[in-house]
Amino acid sequence: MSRQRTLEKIMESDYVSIGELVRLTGSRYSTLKFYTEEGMLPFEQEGANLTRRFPREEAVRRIEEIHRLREAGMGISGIKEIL
Amino acid sequence: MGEYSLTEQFALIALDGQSSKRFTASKKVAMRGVAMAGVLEKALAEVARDQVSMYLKKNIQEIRKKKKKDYLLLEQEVVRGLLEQNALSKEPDLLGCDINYQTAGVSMWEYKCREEVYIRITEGVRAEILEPGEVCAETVCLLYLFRECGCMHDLFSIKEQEHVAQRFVELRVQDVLYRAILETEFHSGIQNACAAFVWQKHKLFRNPYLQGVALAFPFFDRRSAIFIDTIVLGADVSDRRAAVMRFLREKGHSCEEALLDGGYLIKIDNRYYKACPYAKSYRVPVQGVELRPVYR
Repeated sequence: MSRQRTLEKIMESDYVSIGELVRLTGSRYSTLKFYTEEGMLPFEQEGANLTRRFPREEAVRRIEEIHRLREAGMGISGIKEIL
Repeated sequence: MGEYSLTEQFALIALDGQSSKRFTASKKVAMRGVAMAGVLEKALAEVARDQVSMYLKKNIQEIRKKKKKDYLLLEQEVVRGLLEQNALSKEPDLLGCDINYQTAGVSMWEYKCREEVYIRITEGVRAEILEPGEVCAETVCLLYLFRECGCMHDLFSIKEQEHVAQRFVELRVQDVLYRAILETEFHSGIQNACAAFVWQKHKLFRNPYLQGVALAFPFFDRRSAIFIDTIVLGADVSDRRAAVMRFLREKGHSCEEALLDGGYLIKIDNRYYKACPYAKSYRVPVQGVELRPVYR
């Protein structure tokens, strides 16, 4: 059994899970999953079931940049080219 | 976002959209869940893993014995903390604008969870259970409470619910603590049957054909049919719509006109409604507008 990490603990760690990334950025799970599958978010896989873990700082920065570009009216394909 | 305890997280989700003044059947189910969340929080922090099953059984008996006044006290206590943290607010309920309630002087208010907080909690839970990998104890407890209070369908699609059920089986096998939690039942069969009936009825009236039936007989889906009188001599459709929007804004609702699917809709508190001309017969006939929800 593991306990939920506090935001303080999450902010100290280098890698986070997708659930923790949701808590950090306030984005929807389905949105982050889509970005991941489109190759817009960097991640590593570990363990027997290949759990995805995300480099916290880089992933948060990427998500903020994607949100900024989306607000500017850019489409996903355009954002992928920029990233 | 601040840090919220297990009880607070569950209360924020369960109380969202519930009446803040009346003790409805669905609020009773939610408050029973809040009481159980408190028990689980204590079990995770203080009770030895092999004792959890016994601890839960003992406390469930106490929860089942709780009366309305106990739940009202618990609600006051939990809500006070959440209001102070600005995570929950009390907003006017749209049903209070209906002619019957408004002219009777009945004021209706509902709890609203801050959208950002709601998304972070629900999407965090979804991400953890739907992705492969470890699931933390708080997420298992929240999912268990959602299941027992009958709100899984609010958060997961039918296919996702099948996946969650499969994960529950895996979690039961993996950990004795999760088994103890997931095998404990605290819901009341009658309450859940009532909640399921209301949900099925609501689902039925989302059918485009039955939406018309609900409009003709608002009695069947009372909360969805809001009649507002707009007697303005010589008014046309757009004048009536403007009068309704002015009235709703005066009552504290945010509303704007939206042109969707080739027709005008009114977006009230982030939900779409169709404004249909309608008349009700009291001692004198009253001309007005019936707001009918549009499910998208």
